[in-house]
Amino acid sequence: MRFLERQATVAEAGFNRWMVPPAAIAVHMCIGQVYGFSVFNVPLTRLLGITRSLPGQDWGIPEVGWIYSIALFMLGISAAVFGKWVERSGPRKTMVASALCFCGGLLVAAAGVQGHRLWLVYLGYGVLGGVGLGLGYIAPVSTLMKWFPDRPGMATGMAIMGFGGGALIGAPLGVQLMDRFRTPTSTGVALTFFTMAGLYWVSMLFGAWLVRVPPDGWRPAGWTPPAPSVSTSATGLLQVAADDAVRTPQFWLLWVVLCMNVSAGIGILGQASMMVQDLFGVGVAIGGGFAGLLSLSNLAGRFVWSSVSDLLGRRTVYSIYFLLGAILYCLIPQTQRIGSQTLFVVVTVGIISMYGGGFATIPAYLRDLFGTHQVGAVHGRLITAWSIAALVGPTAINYLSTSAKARGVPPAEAYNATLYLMAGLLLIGFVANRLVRPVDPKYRCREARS
Amino acid sequence: MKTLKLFIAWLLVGVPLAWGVLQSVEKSFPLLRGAPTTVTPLPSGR
Repeated sequence: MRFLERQATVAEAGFNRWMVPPAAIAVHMCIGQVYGFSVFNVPLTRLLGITRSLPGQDWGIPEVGWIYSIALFMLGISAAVFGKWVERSGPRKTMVASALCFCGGLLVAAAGVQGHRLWLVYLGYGVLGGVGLGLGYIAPVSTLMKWFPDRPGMATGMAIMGFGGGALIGAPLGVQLMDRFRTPTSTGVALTFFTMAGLYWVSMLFGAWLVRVPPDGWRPAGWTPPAPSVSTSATGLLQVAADDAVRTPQFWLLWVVLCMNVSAGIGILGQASMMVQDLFGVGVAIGGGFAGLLSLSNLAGRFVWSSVSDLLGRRTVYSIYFLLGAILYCLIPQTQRIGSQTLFVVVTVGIISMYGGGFATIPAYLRDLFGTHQVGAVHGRLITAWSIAALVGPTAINYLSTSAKARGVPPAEAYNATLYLMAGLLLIGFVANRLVRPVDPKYRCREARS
Repeated sequence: MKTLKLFIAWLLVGVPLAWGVLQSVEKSFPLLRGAPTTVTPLPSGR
């Protein structure tokens, strides 16, 4: 299978580097479907009852919720474990492996749904699909940064924007397919998984076919790297191996940065619909509309903020995310007090745009500190922060708001403690970010090629 | 030819993304049109 090898993907002379972002987006917009998985939650609890859940026979929401959690957990684990393999194998082989795992996982999950075997769905979508998520997430990132050394933030922002777009596509696609396949004896979930596996397979293989790596020593026409400097590694001159990167304080500071960014963003994203209904007494349709608007803001923030980071610098832009984010979180209860729904929407849209920006800017931040030599592997290990935050964050947030309501706190005020907690998490992230310094040159990797 | 290839590559990822964005915009319409607030604002200073 020489076609899959790294050497087969080296770009020929005259190759247009703008062909690489669509390759990355083609993969990311498929695996981003995981963020829209919640549309399957209710149908999965009615596989036997069809129109209602049969107690004791159908699966419950908590059991079904584990499918998503396992997938996100496996995303982090597989990105960390296979990161170095991804760097060695190149983007094409990794994208194909990702497609095999993610689409294969959907097929196994479809079999699990058809046979009403939950463990098979956990194994399929959760474990196998989760490995596909991890591989697909990091595969194009280092390739994009090598093609766009002049604009690494913008380049990775485009790919990671595709991941956000995956939820916008996956959720309505899942709903429409289930509507199409629903019969009096079936919810249509199994056939929907089967169809999505086919569609995503085509898109991911298109990305794998399109992707190229630059030849050694390639650089954009007219671009010259900044002068070498010992005091800063932002030039990428300091190349650090993944095994050494995890020994540096910078890696763990960025781990905290990502973990706090994700935890705080989930504070709003996970409860968006319910929150606007409780705070302003609006209906379910408005709540759904608010969630939709936040998804768009998340998508736009990934591209816009990461592009801004190329101009302002990664450390500065993260300081803005965290400081402005904390202020905006503290403003939310005030918007409810003055009854301004518009101001509430503006504030939350701002928060979520920076949450998306935080996700998209982290690969470029890693590249600034550790170079491009094994940035995919380093990124993979850092993604464990996302897994942890995605597991712990929503649980803590649900607990806080539920216990506040149970204590008799009015629904409009039940979120205050959560919101102030989110602001506190962002301030921890702010401190961690401010502590980041250039990596000690003793970690320089002598085997680095670029 | 290269420009055409580039256009097609972007079109193939752009169309599904645009469809997803449109779905989300449609979903946001009720909010963007504005909705009457039924919760009475709390007195300031609380």
